[in-house]
Parts: sequence; C-alpha cells; structure tokens
Amino acid sequence: MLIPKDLTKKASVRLKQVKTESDFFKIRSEFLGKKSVIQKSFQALRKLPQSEKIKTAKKLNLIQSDLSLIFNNFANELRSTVNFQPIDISLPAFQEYGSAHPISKTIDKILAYFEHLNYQTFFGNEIETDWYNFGALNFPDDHPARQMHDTFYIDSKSKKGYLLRTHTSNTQIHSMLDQSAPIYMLSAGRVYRCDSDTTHLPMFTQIEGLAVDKDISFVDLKGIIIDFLQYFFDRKMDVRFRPSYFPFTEPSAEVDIKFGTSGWLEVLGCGMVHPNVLSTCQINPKLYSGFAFGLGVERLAMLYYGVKDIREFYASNLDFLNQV
Amino acid sequence: MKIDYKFLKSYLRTNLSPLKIVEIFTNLGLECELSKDSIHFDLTPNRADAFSLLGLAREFYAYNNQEFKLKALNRKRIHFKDSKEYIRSVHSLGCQNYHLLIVDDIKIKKSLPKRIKNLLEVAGIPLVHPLVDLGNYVMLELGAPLHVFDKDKITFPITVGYPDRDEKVQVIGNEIKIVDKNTLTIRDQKECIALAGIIGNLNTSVSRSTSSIAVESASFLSKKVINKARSYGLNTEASIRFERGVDPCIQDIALNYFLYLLDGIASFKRSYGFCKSHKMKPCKTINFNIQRFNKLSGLDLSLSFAKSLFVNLGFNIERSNKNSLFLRSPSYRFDIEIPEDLYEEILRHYGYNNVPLRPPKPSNSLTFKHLEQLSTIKSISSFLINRGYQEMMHVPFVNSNPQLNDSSSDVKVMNPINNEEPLLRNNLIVSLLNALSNNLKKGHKRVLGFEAANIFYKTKDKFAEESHISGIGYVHDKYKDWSGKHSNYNFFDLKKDMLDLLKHLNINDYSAKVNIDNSIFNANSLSILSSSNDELMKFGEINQALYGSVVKNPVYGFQILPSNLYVDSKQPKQINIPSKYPLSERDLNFVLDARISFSEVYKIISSLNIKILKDIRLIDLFSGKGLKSNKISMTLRFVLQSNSKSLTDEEVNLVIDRIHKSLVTKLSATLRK
Repeated sequence: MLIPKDLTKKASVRLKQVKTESDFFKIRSEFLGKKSVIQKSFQALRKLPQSEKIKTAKKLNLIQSDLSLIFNNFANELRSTVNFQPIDISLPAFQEYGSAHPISKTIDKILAYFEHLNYQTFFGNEIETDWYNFGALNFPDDHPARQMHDTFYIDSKSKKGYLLRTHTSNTQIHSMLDQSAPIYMLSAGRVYRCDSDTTHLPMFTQIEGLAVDKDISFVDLKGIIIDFLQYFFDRKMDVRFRPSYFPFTEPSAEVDIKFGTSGWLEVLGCGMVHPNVLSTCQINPKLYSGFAFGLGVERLAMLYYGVKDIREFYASNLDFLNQV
Repeated sequence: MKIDYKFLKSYLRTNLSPLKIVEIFTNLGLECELSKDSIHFDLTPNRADAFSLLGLAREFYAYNNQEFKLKALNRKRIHFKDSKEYIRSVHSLGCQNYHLLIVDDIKIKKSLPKRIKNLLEVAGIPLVHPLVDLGNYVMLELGAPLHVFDKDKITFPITVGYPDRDEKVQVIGNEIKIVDKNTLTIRDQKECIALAGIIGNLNTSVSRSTSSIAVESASFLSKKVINKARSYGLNTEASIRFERGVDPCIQDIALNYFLYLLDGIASFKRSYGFCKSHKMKPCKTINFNIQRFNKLSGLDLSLSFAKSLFVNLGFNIERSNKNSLFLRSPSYRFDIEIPEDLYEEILRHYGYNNVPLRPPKPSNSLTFKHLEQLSTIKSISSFLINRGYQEMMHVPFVNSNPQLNDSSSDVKVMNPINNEEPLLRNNLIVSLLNALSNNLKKGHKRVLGFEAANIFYKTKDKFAEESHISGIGYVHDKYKDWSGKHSNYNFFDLKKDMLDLLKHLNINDYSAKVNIDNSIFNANSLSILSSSNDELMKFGEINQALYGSVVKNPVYGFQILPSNLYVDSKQPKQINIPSKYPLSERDLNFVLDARISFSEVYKIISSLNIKILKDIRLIDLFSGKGLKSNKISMTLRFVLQSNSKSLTDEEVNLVIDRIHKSLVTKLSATLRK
C-alpha cells in the first residue's frame, strides 16, 4: 500500500492561503475529514496482510497526529487574531489602595526581629495604676526620677492612683507576675507624657523588651541591641552605649547611633533589670538576671523615613500616609 | 548645668580638646554637649554628686586613674558650735543639719576675679552682689547651695520647721508667695526668712549697705523639698540641687571654703559659726564580689581594677578578701545602695563601649500565649489595607464623646495638655471623621481609612479599655474615574468588606441584627453577633450628627472588636468534599410588599430545609414602572445540586414549587410573569 507522502508539508502550504475561518475548515476537512487521503488509507489497511498492517498503521497514526497538531496550532492562532480587540493599555489603573501606617510598619519590622528569637508578644493596658507604672519599677514616692516622666493623671476617687502609662515598662511587671522565669517578652503600645513639640507628642509608641533567665549578662544586652539596630537600618551602624539612669535597671544605658550628618542620636534606653524589680515580681535575683530595653518607635520611624516633625504621623494626611 | 569651658579646663588641669572632654564625660554617663565656649551638662537625677566642679573633677580624675584632691578644703578656720541663741531648733524630718557662718564688719576690697564672674554668667547665674556671687561660686564648685542673709536684718534665734499658718512672703525677685504649712521654712523671731532650699525673703537679703552676713549651708532632705519649688512657680539653682540631694557632710567644709575665698576679696572683723545637726543613718557596707560582677557583666576583670577605681571615687574600703571588697560609700554618693550600683560604677569607668558583645540567643520557651490576639489584629489590618483602607493613627484626647447607650461614662485626664481636650475617646470613629473632613478640605474625594487602637470608658469607678478596629468609607459625588465602575462606596460595598472579613477570619457561625445603639451609627446599620451572642462588629451609615457640613454624602463606617473575633476565629473548620453531580438553576420573579425585607424571604426559604438547595442568589431588585408603589419585584436564582446523583427536572420542579407556595402563603407573594 502507498503511504501518502508530504501530507504535512502540503497542509502547511495550503494553510498559508487561509483568509477566513471557513477557508480553514474547508482545508481541515480536506486533510483530516472522512474523504481525506489519510482516512482512505486507514480504510485500505483492512486489505493488507497482518504483519504489514501493524507497521503501516503505526506510520499512518504518526502522520495523522502531525496533521492534527498543525491544524490545532493554526486554529488557536487564527482565533487569537480574529477575536483580538485592541484596548488602550496606557489608560490609568484604578489606584484605590490603602497602606499600613508608617508606625505600624516600623512596629512590625521590630517585632519580626524578636519573633525570630522566639520572644513572646504581650499587650498592656494604657490606663495603669501608680504601682505598675512606678512603684513596682523601683520609683520611690517623691523621688526625682518621677520628674523625668511628665505624667497624665486620671480623674478617679480610687486610692490606686490611676494614670496613663508613661512607658511600656509596666508590661514587664505584668508579664513577670503572670509567669515564671525564664521570660523573653516584647510589648508594643502607646504611652503618654505631657509634652508637645516637633519631636515630642503627648502620645507616642514604645516597644518594651525583657529577657530574664539564668546567665544573662551585659554582653548579651549589647549583642542583641547592636544586632537589632543593624537589622533595622540594614547596614553596619556606629552604636554608642552610655551610662544612664532608670530606676528599674542597674546598670542602665542609653544607646545612640550615628545617623546621617547629625552626630549621635539617642534611640533607646536599656539596662540590666534592677534586683528590686525582680524581687517585687517574685523572681529570685540571686538565681536570675535579665535585661530590659525600651525603644521609641517614632524616633526610629523618623530616622527611617526621614520625617522631621513627629506630628505628621498623627495628622492623618492621606498625601503623607499613602507614600508608604 | 552650663560650665565655661576654659574654666573647666583649668580646673581639671588638662590640655584635652573640648570635644575630647565632652566624649569622656558622656562615656562616664554625665551627658553633656558642647556649645560655643561652654559645656552643658544634663545630668540624670541619681548623679547629684556630679552637680559641681568638684564632682566633675572627681569623675575625670578617676577616669585617668587618679584621685582628685582640693587642698583648700582642708583649711578649717572656724568650728561650728551648737547655740540656742542663734539656731533654736531644726526639724529633724526636714533637715539633717543646718550651719550658719557669721561674718561681721565686712569691707570689700576688690571685686571677684574675672574668671569667676565669667563662670557664673555662663552658668546663667546673674551677678548680684559680691557676697552673694561668692556664695553662688561655692555652690558651683562644691555643689552645696549657700544662702547669704544680711545678718542685721535677722532677729535671732532662728528655727527651721513648718509654719503654723499660711504666710505671705515677698521673695527675692519681688514676687509675693503664700507659703503654706507643708513648706519647710527658716524663720527668725519676726517672720519667714527663707523657703528651705528654694529662695530667701527679700527683707533679709543682702544689699549695698550690708556689712555683716549670716551664710546658711544646710542639708535639707530631698524628699521634703521635691516639687515644692514647682508648686510656687519657682525653679532656682538651690532647689534643683536640693531636689536631687546635697552631700550631707559638706556644709562645714563649704562655709569654711567661703570664708577662705572671702578673705581674698574683703576684710572683716569677726567670723564664727553655729550649727544644729541630727544624727544621720550611717551608710551601710556593701559587698562587692568580683565573681558576681563578672557573671552579670560578662567581663573578666580583676579585683585590683575595682579596688583602685573605688578609692579614686572616694569609697572607703573597710576590709577585703580574695574576691570581695567591703565598701562604704562616700557621703556624696547616696545613690549607691546595692552591689549592682557598684557594678555600674565599674562598667562606667571600664567603658560601656569596651564591653564585648555576645550574639543574640533565642528563647527556649514554647508558649505563645498572646501572640494570636496580635496576629488577629494584624490579619484584620492587612485585610482592610488590601481592600483599599488607609491605616491612620490619632492621639486619643478629645473634647467630648458621643454618649453611648450603656451606663459607661467618660474617662477624664486631670492635667490635660490642652484644656479643650480633657477626655479620652470612647470610640475611634470620631477621630476618623475629623481625618475625613481634613482630607476633603485638602481636595481628596475618596477617603477610606481605619485605625486600630484602644478606646476608654468608665463604669462606676472602674476603668476599661478595649481594643477596637474602626474605619470609615466615603466617596464624594464628584469622584469619578474613566470607567465609571470604581467610583462608588455604599452600604453594600461596606457589607461585602465586613462579611468577607469574617470569612477571612474563619468565622462562619454568626448572626446579624439591626443595630439599635444609634450613638455612632444611624438605623441603617447592622450588628454582627457571634454564636455565643458576643458582639463582633457593627457597621453601617454613620450618625450625621457626628460630622460637619464639609461632608456631603452619607459616611459609612465600622467598629470591630478584635478580642471577640480572636476567640471565635479559633473554632476549627471542616472542609466538605464538593458534589460531583451537575447543578441546576431556576429563576423566580416575585412581587412582594415593599416592607418585606430580603432576610424575611431568605429565612422562609431556609426554614423549608431543602437539602439540595445549595444557594439562593438575588439577581434583580426592582420597584417603579409597572408596579404599585408599595410593591417590589425580586428575582431569585435557586441553585440546586445533590451530593449523590444527577437531579431530574421533576425533582427540581418539585422543590421550586415548594418554595413558590411557601412564599405565596407566608408573604402573599405573587409570581411575576
């Protein structure tokens, strides 16, 4: 039997002349329809002896599948040309976006670092009693340290002395009283001080960190703070620790970084947890030690985003906010 | 404290540059800044000892491994005696000791050296009178505030104590103050001659005609003078120092030093001193253990390093052994109470920046108690952001709050920074509405915003704060885009966002009812309740009374309670295998009474409990032409599918028929042809 030759080549040549869909269907039935050469050849197989039948059928099948492929590809191409409707793809998109607040983004970035170190994240209340905000943190009554915090007091008849927390350090006390050592915790939240200018607001955001465990020392504190700052600014940083004073840490330090041309800038306060604070929270200072730190989120955000006036963060100006 | 740089340099006997000096002090924990010709020290409240030239020199010398000694302080010309004729009594709870130096018939021969005058001026202490200036100089150098009285204007003996009644006093600077019974005062036989540790009475102050003086140096207890000056609207060099604390052993030395310096500029006939002292609690001995220090610091220092440092800082080593020093603090270091205070001394002088680092180590703890609530808030926030809402943040002080329907009341700040805004907000919507107005004024036409923060209220005398996530959505009439499709925002856009959010949070079992608390929303609002009837959220049209006329169209908003959502979103959710069989759809168009809500229709169909009814979709809602004014047409599409077989037309028709009949009987619906 004659195996039809050059069928695929012929089909390709014929397809080049196609102008409309009906041209295409006509040619397709010529090559693949009931009366096509290939179909007739299949019918003729019956007359062949068994041994040749299998060999020839294989060859015919190959030709048929090649032909189908050529026609299918051509059909797809034809559809995409015929149905294509051009549009002006340069027309503007519907940009109705929202975005996270730069302070939220900064908090998330900070929390992410400590979550990798398996620190637990806590929430704290903003209305606090004098004891949690000051007393338990080793601020004696009538102590000059209290003057460092311009406190908002809440109108109340209670003797507990309600106030708006002046720092997130109250969460240290709550977490140490809630659970036993070892503790690795973090707490972000809003704090309040009677202060207002371009770099201060009566409300701002702090992130408190606390680690209490056996064998925690000042070298651990330095290690984590410097590593964190380099992570945050994503570069090697000049970091300076200088002795300072917080009633709830001893030794205490303030940490400065060199940023741009403005010399040293203070970014956070930290220290080794004062033994009185540990004892108050029923943690034995002879067995455990710890470090604590408090980050000013706005300060870091101002540096990170190059914002000069802290009030911009809270003015809800969409032109400011939707840049991040 | 501002110190003239040249003076400081010569006092410290150093040739170092001002920048280097600033660096050394800063690294020692005495924060300072260089400005022009002076160094401004901003000391922490614990470092009263460094609030003087002497204190700074002590630190500087110890840094250089030396001990600072001022020879002139050893010259003692007079001894202070107890005399009832001069000092009758001193209140033991307010004052540890009270010293008076009396100098008669003074004739000033020359003015104070220029460098001292300059030092005072740079420090912001005005030159008043050579005798007063001299006292101020001694204060700057030694840290002991002195007060110089005109001796002839005092009627001795004096007493140091609390007045029996309020008293009017004209203080130096001419202001009149009403001195109350809680203020420690110094009184002579006639009147109050000074407010202890704050300021003197003008009547007894030094003038040009003064020839004899009584100079006071005392140790008023910081606890008794703290916040006092502020309560009188004063802030003096003396009060700043006494509030931090003054060395209780320096009074005798300071007055002798004053006399020594006075000798250099004046002649006088007689000088004598009186004092009254109370027994002081002796400083306790503190055990400094080098091993414990090394463990807490992570360093490996020797005991000898510590020993020489403590000597240079004026500590007294009472005894020692291989690993420990038993130390008594000098009288000016009353901030040192426990071994950790000593550790800081060592670290300060060793240099915080010389301490090595250890890489951060992760916690081994396996509990994540509070993390999930935070992640619920984060999850809601990022959902809203993706739906086009801008996150905003606001300071929570407000002028007034909408009165909510429950018994809660406002939380008031006693000392607000702005008297117009004394309250803490009880909702977040009002701040967002302000943000809306401000942005509309700036020309924005479409504002979708939200805030996640706490709100505050009071019930009886208990304070409560609740985590809220609230938002608003508003699109101005004139807001158009070229497609015409994206310029809308109405109740149903909001409803979609809120119901999608519930799904996003895996909350499937909830109910909705019309919100009846109309303090924030009007009646076009819904309240979503959990299966246990806790409110999860409210949303809808905002009560127009809450916003101003700049807002033209209705504002929609929501108030989400993430703490309730957090509990509910923890419910496990089962996923069912979808049916493999084809689905059938049938549409029915009913005419109903316009007062009948969609939810009533929905409820009636649901109550038929038809298993193969997979979904009911409202595909058209119409009123107007061709219908009576009290009628509405509703086209519903019913989606039917069985989990076990292909449905026949008969089965489908049977179900549709049931639905039809039920709506006809229960709602008097008619089928529209």
